[in-house]
Amino acid sequence: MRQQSGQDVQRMHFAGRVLARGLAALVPAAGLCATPAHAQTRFQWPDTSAHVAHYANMEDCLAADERVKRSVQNRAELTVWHDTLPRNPREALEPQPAQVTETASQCAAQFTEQKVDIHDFAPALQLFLAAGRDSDAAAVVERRVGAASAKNARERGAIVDSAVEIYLHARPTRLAAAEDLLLHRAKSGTDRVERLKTYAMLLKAAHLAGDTVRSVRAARWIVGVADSLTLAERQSDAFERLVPGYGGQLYVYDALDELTGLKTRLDSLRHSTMAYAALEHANWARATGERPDALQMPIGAKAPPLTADYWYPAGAGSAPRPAPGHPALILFLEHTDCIMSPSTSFAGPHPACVMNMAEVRRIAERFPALEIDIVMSTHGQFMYLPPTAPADEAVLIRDWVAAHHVSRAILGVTNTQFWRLPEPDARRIDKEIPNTTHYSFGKTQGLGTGSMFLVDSDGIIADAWRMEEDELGKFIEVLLDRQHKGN
Amino acid sequence: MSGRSDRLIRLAGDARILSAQDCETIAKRVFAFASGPGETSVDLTSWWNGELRWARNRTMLASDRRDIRVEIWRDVGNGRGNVSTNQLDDVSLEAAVHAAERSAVLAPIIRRPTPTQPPLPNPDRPKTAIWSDATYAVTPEARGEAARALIAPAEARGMQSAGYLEMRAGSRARLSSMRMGTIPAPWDIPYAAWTQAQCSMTVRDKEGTGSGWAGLSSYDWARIDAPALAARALEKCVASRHPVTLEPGRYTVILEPQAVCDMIEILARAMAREGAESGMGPWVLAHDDVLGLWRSKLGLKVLDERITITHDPADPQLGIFPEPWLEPVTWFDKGVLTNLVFDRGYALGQLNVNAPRRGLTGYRMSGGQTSVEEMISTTTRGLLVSHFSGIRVLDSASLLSTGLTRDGLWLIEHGQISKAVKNFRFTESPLFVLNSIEQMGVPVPVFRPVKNPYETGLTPAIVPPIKSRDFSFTSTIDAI
Repeated sequence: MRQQSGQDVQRMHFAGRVLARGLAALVPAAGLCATPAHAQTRFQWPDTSAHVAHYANMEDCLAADERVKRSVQNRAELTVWHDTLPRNPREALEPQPAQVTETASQCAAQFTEQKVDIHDFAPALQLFLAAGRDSDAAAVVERRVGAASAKNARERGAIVDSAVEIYLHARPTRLAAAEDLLLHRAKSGTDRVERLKTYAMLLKAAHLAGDTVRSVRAARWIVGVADSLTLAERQSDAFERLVPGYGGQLYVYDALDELTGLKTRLDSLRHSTMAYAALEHANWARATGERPDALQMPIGAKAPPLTADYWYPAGAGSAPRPAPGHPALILFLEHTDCIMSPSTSFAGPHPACVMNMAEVRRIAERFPALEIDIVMSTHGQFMYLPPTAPADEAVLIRDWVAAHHVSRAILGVTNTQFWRLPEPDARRIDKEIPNTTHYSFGKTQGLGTGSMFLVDSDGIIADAWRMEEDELGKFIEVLLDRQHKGN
Repeated sequence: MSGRSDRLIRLAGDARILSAQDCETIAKRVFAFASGPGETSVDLTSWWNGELRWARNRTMLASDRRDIRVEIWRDVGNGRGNVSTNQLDDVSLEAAVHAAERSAVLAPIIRRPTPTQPPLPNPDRPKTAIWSDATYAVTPEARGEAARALIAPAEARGMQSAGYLEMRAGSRARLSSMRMGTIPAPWDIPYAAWTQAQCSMTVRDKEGTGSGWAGLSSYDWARIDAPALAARALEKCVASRHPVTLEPGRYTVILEPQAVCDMIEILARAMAREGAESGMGPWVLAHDDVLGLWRSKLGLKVLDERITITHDPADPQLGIFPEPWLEPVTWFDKGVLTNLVFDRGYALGQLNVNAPRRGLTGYRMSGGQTSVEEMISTTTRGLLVSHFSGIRVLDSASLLSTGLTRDGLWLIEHGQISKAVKNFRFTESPLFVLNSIEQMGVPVPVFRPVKNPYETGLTPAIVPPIKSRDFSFTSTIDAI
């Protein structure tokens, strides 16, 4: 056989290309499928598209759905920071983005409810809910509960707990389905402390979802059950364990709060801060059996004067703060809690603080007559900088606060006194700053970054800790209205 | 040469790693490919690894490899994406930059800019001895010659030898488009290059009854006396033949420096301060209920008072990667625990100091003047241990560990080595060993190389031989 020369090879390749072009032109005309010219392809990307319909099991489907959900969320976050927006109280009732539901539907299409292995109950329930197949989801739950021994109350309880958890965490949250299960469980069981917990779950979920009808209903059940508890039940370990540190009493307090309703609370605040405080104290006393003033929130207390070593703007501290005669919002912040991984390239603001500052900024813009005091303290360092002197750190804090554009905010920075553990440990132990001491009111619940106090024009604390922005706005409106009317 | 191939950066000629100039040039090209605003940062790592491995007196592997890794980070809006490549032509770099941009949009790491950025501090970086021209200059031929010289004595004695020779160089720079030519951020990495050489050798007799090992690592090949190591491994092999079985139990041991290093290695991995202050590890003292925090054993005597373990980045024998704000540190001072490992975030937040503590990456342990021969001569009954292997920690609170003696274990009776002994499994804590010291020798460099070529820097150690009592051996093993 004659050995091919280089020129021959080139000619053959050229001829091949011409032929291929000719065929490519003919193929569509002939209506045939074009076959890739594999021999000429050095590299071909593998098919990386996800064919979720071919996923073999439910866990894979759920994982795919989660990936799509995260991807959609991340992409959304590129353009919108939800932590700078007011919380959407009905977010839990909104459906998943279409891509997420579509992925779940495609993947779940291969699974029929009747053929689901009962041991796959939890992933099946999640997947059917994600795919919007609620009737299949209910059938799976029913089948799973039915498979449990009627005598084994513990097992049935655990199944219902799992199902309720999944219903409440689904998007949109399935409150009705969860409520059905919870009610069935509450009525079939004899443990009333457990029933209290069940109703509290429903109250919390309904409250978060903004379903006031359902939350009021759950609150009534809670109060009803709580009122019927015997002393032994109230003093039981099970009751104490319901909310660590507080016991089931906190459920009852929340329920009473829900039953009182925002309108009633605002009406009493409209009358006077002390009237509102009396309402809150009465609810606490009824819920816990304790003295009314044992309420952990210092509502109705005189707001202690704020102290600081550095005031911004300068001279703000020459007059008392919070300013007498004006409603004021006091916000406690620590920059060390607000900047994540400050010494690395991942330094960035903590979303919770971003949310705090954005909320206060909106409040400041909405209520020009409201005084705003931001309380901070030094820690001997700021972000990635080498240790700084207190005065320098205060300036850095001032700049950090200024960058959040909270108009009219008065910033008070306290030079934190500290001591050190003996060398070589040498850890810095900060002493509590006077503002923190005063605003803790001797309560066990400590202050932290994001703690807020709303003070009326008489210097009385109208509400404390954290409030929903919408609710906070309504409280401020009342206080400003009262100031305007001179009462 | 075409314009495009002009832009190809190859490690031309004798260059085995990227130079500072190379890194800057590549970084600028990467930055130029960015489409749009936002920070671009590039982490450039290059390494060269020349190695020779032999077994049964014959070369099994001889290679001279090098690679480059360019990791590109792109910020697009609030998202960050990254991609790595080792292709340096324009097309590849541009594709990598655009891939990072796509990643920043499609699968972003969300980044929220800090609302205010104080001026960046200028980190001090210690001057450390981590570069040796002697190491960098070793050619494959020279490695072959060296190996031949190491194998020959063992072969001449009818022994089997196995060993590993490696010379390595690396470089790293992490540069940002926002700070080219200005003060680098503490998390940037100005160009640094390092070398490492290691030589280790095992000699065994053909019957499989004796084994000897010797090894040393250093940034400088000139500091490694390879023929002496070969002679030592051979000598140990000959002396360890036909071992007898001894009852397990507690013995006085003379640990050669390498065995001491193996013990200290357990400590080196358990030095985290935040762990101790979270109630974990060997350095927890107790929970302080008044202050609501965990107290560590810092300031307490935890080892024999003759033990001081320090590290000075400027020590020419202890060079490590020049990270910012590294300072000389004393870990144990006359047996007292004086420092634990923490990063700069901890340093700033908890201590209000600017210097992290980077761990026992390199260290020098104090010693005494007693030679191993003197230790032997003063031992009535004990064991001489060459080194350990297969160590794992059984209990993190006490550092109780287990492992094996290897490559030479001898019984000492009445001041003399009497016979070779079969290897033991030990179950012991280094804390116990370092609190039971009877004698210490002169500290010497030991074998402690970095294993991963992409890892930055070196892990040198200088430790003495020690004599310690009541070391617990729990079973015999058949391996030699």
